[in-house]
Amino acid sequence: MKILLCAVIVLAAVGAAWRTSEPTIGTDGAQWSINTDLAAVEVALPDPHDALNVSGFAVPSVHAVSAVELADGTLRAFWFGGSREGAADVSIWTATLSPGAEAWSEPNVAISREDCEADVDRTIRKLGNPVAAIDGDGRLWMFFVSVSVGGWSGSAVNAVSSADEGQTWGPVERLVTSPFANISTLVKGPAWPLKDGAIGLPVYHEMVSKFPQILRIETDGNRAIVEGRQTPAGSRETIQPWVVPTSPTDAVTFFRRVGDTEARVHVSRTSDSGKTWSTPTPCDLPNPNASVAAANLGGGRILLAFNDKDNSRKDLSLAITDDNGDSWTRLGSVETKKRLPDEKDIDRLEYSYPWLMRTRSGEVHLLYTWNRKQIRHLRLPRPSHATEEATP
Amino acid sequence: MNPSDLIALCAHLLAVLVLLSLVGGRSRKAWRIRFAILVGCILIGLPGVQRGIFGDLSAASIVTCVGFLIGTATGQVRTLLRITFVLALPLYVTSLSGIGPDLYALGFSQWWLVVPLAVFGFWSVSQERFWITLWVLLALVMTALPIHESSNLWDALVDVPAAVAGLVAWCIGWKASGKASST
Repeated sequence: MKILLCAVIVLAAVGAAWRTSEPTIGTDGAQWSINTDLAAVEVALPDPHDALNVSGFAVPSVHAVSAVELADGTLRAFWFGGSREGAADVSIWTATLSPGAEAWSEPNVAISREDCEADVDRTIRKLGNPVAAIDGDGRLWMFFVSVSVGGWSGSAVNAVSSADEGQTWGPVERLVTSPFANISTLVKGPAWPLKDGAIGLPVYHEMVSKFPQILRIETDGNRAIVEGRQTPAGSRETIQPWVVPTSPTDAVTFFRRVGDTEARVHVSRTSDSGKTWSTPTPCDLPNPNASVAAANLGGGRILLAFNDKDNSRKDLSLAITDDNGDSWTRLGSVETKKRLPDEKDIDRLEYSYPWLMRTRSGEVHLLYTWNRKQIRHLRLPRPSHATEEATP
Repeated sequence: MNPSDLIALCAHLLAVLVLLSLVGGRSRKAWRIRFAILVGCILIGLPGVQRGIFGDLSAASIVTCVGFLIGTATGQVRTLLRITFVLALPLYVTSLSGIGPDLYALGFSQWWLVVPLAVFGFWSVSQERFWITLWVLLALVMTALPIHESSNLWDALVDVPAAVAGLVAWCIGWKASGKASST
């Protein structure tokens, strides 16, 4: 009997050892698989009057947009919306913008709270923060947070995928990311494919202490499971990491700062494919405890969208760095407290949660929350001198 | 519903049954009432609520529930819970604070973690502490096979309810030893 039990333990231990030998981020093929050899593009400040309404008027409150470029160049955006943030009627919404189109498609619900609850077989009170990503096989993934009890700090991350670029969705999978009742992991920044076929997903923790993490997620068809987690050392009070790979081994991460001190955008760097990260340090740009977004412009330059105020989200601005965040040149404000004609009845102005993306054709797009009423989209124009130079 | 969801919901039902067994006697009538309440709990979706709050239960909780219902080997189950608390404490402190090494991450990527666990399993077999053997074995099987929502070894070993029960077991033990030394 005892020998038999020991034999079973050995067998189970071999199986368990095999499952717990996953590579960590930055090692053994778990490096990002992103084209970082980009042609340099120049951008100018867009006019907010040119903004497109992405979210339509289906629900009164919307927030936290993300977007991906599909195979034919169509943009697909995701955001959460309902009667108010945190309400039970909040769903994850989606809409598309075809190449050359002048307006976004009618938005529709991608995942509702009820869908999520049924798929993960547990009570869900609210949904938020969708982040879209395309894996190495071209499958569209969406990660979003759900809360079963308490506030946003009680969030868990969920994954759902689509084989037809967002027309239909597979079952929602709840990812296990934390040992403490699997709570307090949230997602905001863009994911990236890894060389071994997995997905690297920047996330952040909010309960007791606030800090960023990176998950390694393995996918198999429409199933996703967390197979690794990395917590960069010394990065407390910085959340919502936005990672910009700049070479096969180098990347810069920009953070929202949540502490009472050093209310600046924080920056961290890696030169070993994400295996280790420098301690986040404040840069010249203010951060009023608000999300930031970045895009690689090529030629060693990175564009950042941020709120250029110490204590409000009334000014959404753009700045460019050519030294990985050490120094910045401000392009200017996209949205300011100067009210547009359609803002006269809005009590509290807010332009927040920007999402920047560069498409394969080199166009740069900015999407953001407009007063919690709309998700707006701006194509960043080329500067006039760049246009003139391009004209034969 | 996939098999891992079914197993997880059954484990939560088992936990409800344990809580119900704390009330009333051990008569047949009392058990009938408990099962009637259990059916009510299923109908109102209580296991789903529990799962939403605590996630999938670990081997520690499942073995404790079974041990409690059978009512034998309470000493072994108490030891199991105390060990669970000792394992969970540094795991939770590092995971919630972000300070120190990310112990939880080891459960994804460090295969050697199963070696001390297996050795502990062999020890429990040699000492005929079969409830502890069952805990180790179930945790290893949960990690090896996709029957737990997590692929992390720690999630198969410990969870919050078992860690809290472990803390209670330590407190009861300290109180009892304090009383014994004062008499």
